Amino acid sequence: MARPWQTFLSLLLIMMGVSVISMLLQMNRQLEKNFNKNISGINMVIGAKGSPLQLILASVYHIDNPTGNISLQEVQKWVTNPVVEKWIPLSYGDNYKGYRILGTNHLYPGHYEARLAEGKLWENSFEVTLGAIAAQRLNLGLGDEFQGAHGLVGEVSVHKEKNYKVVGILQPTGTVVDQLILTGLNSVWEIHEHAEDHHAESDSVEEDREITAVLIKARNPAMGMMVARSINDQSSMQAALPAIEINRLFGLFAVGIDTLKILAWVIMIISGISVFVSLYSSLKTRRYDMAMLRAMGASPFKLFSFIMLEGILLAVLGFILGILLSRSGLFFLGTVMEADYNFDFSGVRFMLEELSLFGFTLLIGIGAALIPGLQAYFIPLSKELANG
Amino acid sequence: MVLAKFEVMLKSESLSFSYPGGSPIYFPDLHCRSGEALLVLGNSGVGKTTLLHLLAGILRPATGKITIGNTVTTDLNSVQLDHFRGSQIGLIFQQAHFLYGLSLKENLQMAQYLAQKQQNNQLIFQLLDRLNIGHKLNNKPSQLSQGEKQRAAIARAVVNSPALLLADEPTSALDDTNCTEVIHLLTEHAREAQAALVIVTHDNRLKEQIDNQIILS
Repeated sequence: MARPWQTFLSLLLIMMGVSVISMLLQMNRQLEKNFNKNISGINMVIGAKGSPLQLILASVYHIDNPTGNISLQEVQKWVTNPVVEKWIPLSYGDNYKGYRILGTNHLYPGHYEARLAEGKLWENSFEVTLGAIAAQRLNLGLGDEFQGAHGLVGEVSVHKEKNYKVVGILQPTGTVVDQLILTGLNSVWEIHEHAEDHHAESDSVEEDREITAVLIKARNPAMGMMVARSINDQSSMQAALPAIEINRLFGLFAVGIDTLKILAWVIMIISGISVFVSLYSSLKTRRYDMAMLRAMGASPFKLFSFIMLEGILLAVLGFILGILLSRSGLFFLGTVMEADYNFDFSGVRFMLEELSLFGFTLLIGIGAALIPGLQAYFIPLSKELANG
Repeated sequence: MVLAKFEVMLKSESLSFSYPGGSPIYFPDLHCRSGEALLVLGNSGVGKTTLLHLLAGILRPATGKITIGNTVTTDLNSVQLDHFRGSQIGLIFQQAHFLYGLSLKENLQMAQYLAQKQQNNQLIFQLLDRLNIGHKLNNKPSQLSQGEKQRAAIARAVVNSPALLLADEPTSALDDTNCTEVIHLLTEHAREAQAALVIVTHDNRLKEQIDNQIILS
């Protein structure tokens, strides 16, 4: 290592290239895993008209605001269609310390195969069952009571009139359910009626129930698409298809991810050039050393392998450091994403793509060392020693 | 071992060499018995270093034959020649040159490694002690004086007990005291190792110290 700083620079570049590419690979995988896991068999979502992507993000992933409310009565006209195998009503309204309180029925935890860790599912109004992470982060146990705040985030206006009571806690599922506070539709309806008491004379309350969205599992996805088209054409509601919207979203991501990938590959190529320059220029000052080694019995091939080994060593070390950096970056990102976007970053493992990344890094090291290696191989021994 | 004294360790016959585009250089035949020293004198430019490189197998002669011990080195292929040079020939140059990242001890270990010999630290310690640089064992070569460097170079040349020691102007960078000492050490080690010692030089101080002489012209 005749030039420590140049070697350091090469190492740094390899490390950066490797870590960015590995991070992109891992994030892409995690994104797809998370998004696909939470779709899990939901073919269609019905909600108020607006952006279909927003509807999906809000009601399947719980990371965006709902598009509005729809009438339960109108929904019921459509869900009687025999194509519909299962429909789950969702109603939003409140949050507790940033965790969403979701009004639904027992089909919802059932759909995500959530099992009870303790207690029971909600029965009466204002009884809640907590997702595993929500329970842990909010530090709530069975029998605890709390007051919800209006809206989906923050505590702008707290409903002081009524307390929610914890009656059950679910086991972790690795899905969005973990981050939710589940309750009956009645709880959401009652608390808001109560709030609007003074002007709602409640003429026909039963018919006027509103919900936020409906998740639908169709018996036949193709038929489901036709129903979706009819709903969009003939009702005041919209039907969005999660698979299509998420593909669209990934399409948007892909542009950014591809750009970053190209950038990372450019860094990798530059790192290769840097390794080459470092080996090449250090060989210039070590020509006599190389000749000495030959005089002491080293074969030309041995010198060649010394130089190659340096290139390979740099590549391997750079790769290991790059992977370590990428893993710590993901760990940091994971903590942020889980808190803010209900995103589960666990289960980061070594991917097959990273193996080919390792192969490519090795190739860069070998390629960069090849010319200096051949120069050492063909060093004019007698001339070099005579010049000594 | 009495017989060994008379054994011809180095023999060269009708050697010639020509650099690309140059006229051929013809060299006189050389004989050197094991444990003996041969001085090759001549002014600069007569091909002293070329001859040394031919003997070391660093250059290939155009014609002629070199025999070291029982081996005709001019018949070896390049891989065999590299290995033979590493294990059977010790080289000493005008400017002692080492691998500067390594300590003195590591430089000697490298010589053992390249000759594909067992690493023998005991031997290294003894050798350096006898050359009075045992205390510099873990120093970097750059921390040695000129005389110490040349002694370290001798240590490296003899560490593998070679059959042939080749020295190219080993004394021209040294003062009289160091010159006498280095020649004394070289001849002594060559005698002990039963190696043939060939010194090429234009340093006339050596004429009085080594009887066996050949003059190139």
